[in-house]
Order: sequence, then structure tokens, then C-alpha cells
Amino acid sequence: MSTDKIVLQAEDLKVSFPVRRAGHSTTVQAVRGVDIRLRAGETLGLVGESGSGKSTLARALMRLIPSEGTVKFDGLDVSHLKSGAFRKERKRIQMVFQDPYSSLNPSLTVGASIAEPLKVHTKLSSAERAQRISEVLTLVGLNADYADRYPDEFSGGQRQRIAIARAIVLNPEVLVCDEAVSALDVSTQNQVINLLEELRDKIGLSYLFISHDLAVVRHISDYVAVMYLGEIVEEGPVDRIFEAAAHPYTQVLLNAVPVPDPVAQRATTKLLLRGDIPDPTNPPSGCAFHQRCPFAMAICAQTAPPKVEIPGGGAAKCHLHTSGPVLAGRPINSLTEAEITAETATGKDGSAGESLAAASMPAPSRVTVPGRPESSL
Amino acid sequence: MTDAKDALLSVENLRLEIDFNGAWTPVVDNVSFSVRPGETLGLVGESGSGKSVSAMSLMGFLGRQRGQRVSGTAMFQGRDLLRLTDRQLESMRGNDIAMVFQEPMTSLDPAFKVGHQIAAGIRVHQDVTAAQAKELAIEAMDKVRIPNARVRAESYPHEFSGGMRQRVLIAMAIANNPSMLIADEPTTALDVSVQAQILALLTEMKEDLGLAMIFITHNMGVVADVCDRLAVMYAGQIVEEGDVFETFAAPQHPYTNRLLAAMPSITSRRGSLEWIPGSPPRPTDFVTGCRFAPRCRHRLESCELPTTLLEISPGRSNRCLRGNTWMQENES
Ligand SMILES: Nc1ncnc2c1ncn2[C@@H]1O[C@H](COP(=O)(O)OP(=O)(O)OP(=O)(O)O)[C@@H](O)[C@H]1O
Ligand SMILES: Nc1ncnc2c1ncn2[C@@H]1O[C@H](COP(=O)(O)OP(=O)(O)O)[C@@H](O)[C@H]1O
Ligand code: SF4
Ligand code: SF4
Ligand SMILES: [Mg+2]
Ligand SMILES: [Mg+2]
Repeated sequence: MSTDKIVLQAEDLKVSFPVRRAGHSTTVQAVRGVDIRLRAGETLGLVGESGSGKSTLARALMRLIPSEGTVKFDGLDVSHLKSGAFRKERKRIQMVFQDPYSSLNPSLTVGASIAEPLKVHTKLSSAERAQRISEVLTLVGLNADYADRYPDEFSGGQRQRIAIARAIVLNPEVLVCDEAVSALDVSTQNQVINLLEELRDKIGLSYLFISHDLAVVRHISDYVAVMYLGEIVEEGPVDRIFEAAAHPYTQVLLNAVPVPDPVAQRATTKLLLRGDIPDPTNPPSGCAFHQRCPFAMAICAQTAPPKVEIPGGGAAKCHLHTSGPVLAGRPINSLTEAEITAETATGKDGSAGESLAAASMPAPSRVTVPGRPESSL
Repeated sequence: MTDAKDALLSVENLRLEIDFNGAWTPVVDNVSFSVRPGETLGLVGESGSGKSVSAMSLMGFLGRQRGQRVSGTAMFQGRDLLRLTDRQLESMRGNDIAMVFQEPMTSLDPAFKVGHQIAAGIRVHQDVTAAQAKELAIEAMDKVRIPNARVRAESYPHEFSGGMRQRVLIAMAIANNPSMLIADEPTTALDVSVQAQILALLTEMKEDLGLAMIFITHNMGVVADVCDRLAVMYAGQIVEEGDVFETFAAPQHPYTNRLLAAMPSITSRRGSLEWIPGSPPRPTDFVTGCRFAPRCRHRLESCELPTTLLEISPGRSNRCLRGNTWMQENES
């Protein structure tokens, strides 16, 4: 299905929010210069810890909040369109949120909820609207006469289907799913994911799929972007990211997912992160990940790492590929102990050295939190 | 089932009934399991299967109010938890058995500094001065690796991240050196990176302090990481119980089998994801026959007969009326 047509694109997108910290005003840089491209018929998975800026990026793409930089729908720069002109374009992209309980108005029937976007954006008669509503309900695998019932009569999975029906009623090209399956039981979650895949094939939808569940992202995505503190630190084709991660943060995230196999899970060496995601009002110098990175080198605190293309597709922003033990595109898991210790000897402080040792410790011992987390939280 | 005699907690036939519009309805029934010292029992099942209700009944948070009644026995250190007076219960909670819940914010009072809250919990159970309690609180925060414990003790809950708040709750739970911890989805709301930190911490606590744990979760990966034994709940009953390694290698109940098959894998992609058609029944719709039958692809007419959790080999039990004969049938 995927073609070379780019349905959604962002260039150097930036979002900041004014906030108050310790009594004075400052800004949170929630998105710090992001580039993304979503091809027609493709699913772009967006992962990262909470607070990394995923939802903010999504809201900026849909122009729900002000941003700097360029956003293009289908090649058309919409960033500077006046609201009237933008309204015509907005229906190309729709959104599905996490909470199936709050995303539907409980006092409206399912049909009335789905009809709302039709009333705003089309001139369909009420009979035509009813026709379209039963079409989309059928498309998401629900009974057409559910239109007359209220949201509280449905289970979480059914409500999420209703939310999807509402989102596709205007025939959008792109669906942004922000943690759309995160609140569901695994069985229900899988049902909704299968539905999304079916819709992709049937009506050619493209997805920006935001989730902190990496197994789900691996399943549904063609291409994956990893966000950390408002930046995309690594991106690439899904198999390359999951099999040969080139950025330490990606590697740590993948390593943190417990696999449902007690033998394999207990044999894995755990790479534990120190501390929490830093305060975005005051991002760290150099590489924003340096205080928590198990592979940090002296240069990492000083200089922001360049974006390096990775063999197998995509790119990563990490000094390991250009200096220190030069990975030059090789995956993190190919880093040998000797390469790591060579770098530890040159200008590293004690606590990070400890975590380097932990990161390269042989399986199957369980590595506990190395040293003391040093972040302020 | 574990032998009751070497168990720290031995639950037999736990049943909680709730009065739904005048009809006494069992929400959990026939729940039996035991936990040995230092052992972690995982409790899994879909939303609404009765995991939290079972834990809350054991701790006396459910079953003591009007409109609710609890029966069965739950022997813990020679005493039946279900028959303690309210005062005995108060002195046991947070002392011998501690509990950690899913949503950290709800269990911390936003108006008080965390050090003060941990110290207050210590003074309920230990005869110490305020200053001594404060020191013990800092010690507990240190044990769960909260950096700068002495300084952070003066912070309010909202000044902590979700992961750090969860550490505070664990500090609070272990501050009185309990022999057992009941953790109800302690990592479900957290990022995987933070979840990994908390799981490593709990494993360490278990090894260093010899803590026994009941670990409630939705996530089979988490079970594989921390649990020794596993009990699978469906519609208010345990349908399978056994050693974690054996259960994952060869699930005996069709429900366990389907739950495991549904876990998306991070190491490979399959065609389409597995799911279980239909949804779990509500307590008012519970039947005496197999409650999973409407969703089970191995159902026979005989599956309407009453079920019991049968011991099939030492330490393993199964509630499926067909034993393991369903396994020969094609799984598609
Ligand atoms: N206080 C209560 N009064 C009446 N019914 C209740 C009460 N608490 C829980 N229930 C019902 O008991 C059943 C089991 O609920 P429980 O909270 O134990 O599920 P759970 O397995 O913990 O699910 P989850 O995974 O969603 O936490 C559900 O049908 C629920 O609606
Ligand atoms: N309306 C807002 N005002 C101030 N800060 C915000 C606002 N929305 C998000 N943020 C901040 O921006 C950062 C990114 O948040 P978000 O996009 O919600 O992350 P994610 O979706 O990845 O969890 C966080 O530090 C968050 O606290
Ligand atoms: S640039 Fe340095 S600190 Fe940043 S991810 Fe790479 S090795 Fe780690
Ligand atoms: S008793 Fe019958 S319906 Fe129930 S799980 Fe076993 S085979 Fe399926
Ligand atoms: Mg978000
Ligand atoms: Mg629960």
C-alpha cells in the first residue's frame, strides 16, 4: 500500500509552553526541532518516556497548539494558513485518544457523536448522515443500530471502536493515535490493533501511532521514531530499530521491556537508567541524555551530538558513532567491553564509570540500579 | 497448592459477596492459594476478574461493611485475617502485611511532606520518638534508592515524578519491616524504563529482606520477571495455579493459554494479534459451570458442570473440566 506520497511532514518543529517554576516564569521546550515524514499507507510509530513530548508533537501537527517550523499536509504547507483556510485542510487528519471513557460525550448517542464532524465539515442531509454513520459503524465492526445507544452501554474496547468510527467518518488520510490502546486489556487492545490494520488495508489510512508499549509499536509500525526530551534521538525502519538500535536510549528502552518468557527474561542483563527524565525547562548541556546514559563520554556533556545516518535505514544522534569508541553506524549491542573501558579511562567521573561497568556486565546476573540516581527528582 | 504448614499466608475458599439490589452476589469465590516466606505469587487476569477484590478482602478493606460479606479462611502467622477485630486489623496492616497500589497519588496525602507521612506510619506501629521515626523514614527512603533521602524527605508528593512517588510508597510499605507485601499493579502506570527500575528494586527487597509478595498485574512479562508462582483469575475464581516456569512452558487452562498467546512480542512480528472474542462476565452473570465457556474454543456440553480447582501435580492445579485433553485440538 505504501507509496512515496508524503501525507504528513514536519520540519524543525518547535513548541514551548510558558510555565512558572519556583516563583518565576520560564518556558518548557516540549518539542525542540523535530523532523518527521509519514508516507501514504504507512504507520509511523512514536515512542519515548512520558513527558518526552509525544502528545505535544501530535497536537502541534494538528495545529491544536501554536508552534514554530513547518507542517505540511500532503505537500501543502499549512503552518501559515489562516484559520478559515486551515479548516478545510484539518479534516485530512483526525485523532484518537487514550481514554475511551472521556473521549465520547456521555449525553449524546453514539450516532450523534459521530454526526458532529459531518455537521461541521459537510453539507450532507440528515438521511445521508445516517447512511454514513451506519457505514462507518459497520467498518469498525460494530452493529449499525448501536447509533441509537449511549456510550455507557459499551465496554472499553467498543468505545474505542466508536471513537475510531468518529475519527474516520470524514475520510481522513491520516489518523493520529495517541496511546489509543494503552488503557485496554491485552485481548481488547489486540482487537483494536487488528482493526486499525484492517482499515489501513481497506481505506488506505496512514497512522501516526504514539505508544509507550514497544511490543505494540513493533507490531504495527513500518517506521519508528524515538523521542527523548523533545527531540527525535533515533529513527529508522521498524526491524532495524528493534534488532540493531544505534542509540543508547533506544537500547535501554528495548532492554526494559519484560518478555513473557521467564527463562529468557531472567537471563537478560538489565540496563537500568539512572534517575528520571530531566526538567524540560532546563535541558542538560550537550547530549540531553548524558546524565542517564550508560555509555556517556566526556564529550557528551559538552557538545550536542550530530545526526548520523545508520546503515539499514534512518539516523541516530549520538557521539558514539563519531567519537570515542567509534560505532560508525554499528548497533549498540555490538559494542565490546574493551571499547567501553577504553573510553571510561579517558575523563569520566566515578558514578558514570560504575554504570558503564554495569552495562557491560556479563549475563545472567541482575544489575541493580547502578550508583545513586543523580537527577534532582 | 503449597503445603499449608510451611506457608506464611494460606487462603482457603475466600468468598466475597456483595448485595446487588437485594441479591447476595459472589464477586470472588472459591479462591485458595498460599504464599511461602520469601516467595512471590503473581495474580493475573483481565480487568474485572477479581484480583483487587481478593487482595482488598484479605486486608479487610472489603467484606466488613454493610452490604458485603466475606467467608473462608486466610491464615497468616497463625491468625485468621478474616476474623480479626478491627483493632487487630489496624495493627497488622502496614506492619506485618503492607500494601502498595497502582496510582501513587491516591495513597499519598498531597498536603504533607513525604518524610512526615512515612514517619507517621512508623509511629503507628513502633514505639519511637518523632525524631527516631524521622530517621527511620529517611533510612527507608534510602533503601528504595531515593537520592538525597534526607533532603527529599522534606518534599511534597507533587514534587516527585511518578516513579519516585512509587518508590516513596514502597519505602512506606517496608518501613515497619513487614513479612509480606501485597502490590496491586505497582508499575502499570509507569514507563517501561521506570518499571524496570521498580521491578529490580522489588526483587532486591525480596532477596535482602526475605519479603513474601502477592504481585497483581496484567502483564505476563512482569510475571516472567519477578514471580515464582502464578495464579490466573477469571470471573472471580482462580482457574490455574502453579510454578511460573512450568505454567509458561505448558499452560493447563485454555484461558491461561490464550492470555499468553495474546502478548505481542518485542522480538518478532506476527501476522495478526491474538484476541479472545467476547468479554468477561459480570458477577451477576456468573454461572456454576465453567465461566470461561462462552469464550472458549474447546467448549463441550459437559463444560456446564460445576468446576473445581484440581491439583494435577504437586504444586500445580487447573480448573478446566477437560483437564489437558483440549491441548490436542487445533488452536485456530
Ligand atoms: N466495592 C465494590 N462494590 C461492588 N462491586 C465491586 C466493588 N469492587 C469491585 N467490584 C466488582 O468486582 C469485580 C472484580 O473487580 P476487581 O477490581 O477485583 O477486578 P481486577 O481484577 O482488580 O481488575 P483490574 O485489572 O481492572 O484492576 C468487578 O466486576 C467489579 O466491578
Ligand atoms: N499545556 C502545557 N503547559 C505546560 N507544559 C506542558 C503542557 N503540555 C505539555 N507540557 C510539558 O511538555 C513536555 C512534553 O509533554 P507531552 O507532550 O505531554 O509528553 P508525552 O506525550 O511524551 O508524555 C512535558 O514536560 C510536559 O510537562
Ligand atoms: S551522545 Fe553520549 S550521552 Fe548521548 S546517547 Fe550518545 S553516548 Fe550517550
Ligand atoms: S471447562 Fe470447557 S469451556 Fe471451560 S476452559 Fe475447559 S474446555 Fe473450555
Ligand atoms: Mg502523552
Ligand atoms: Mg485491580
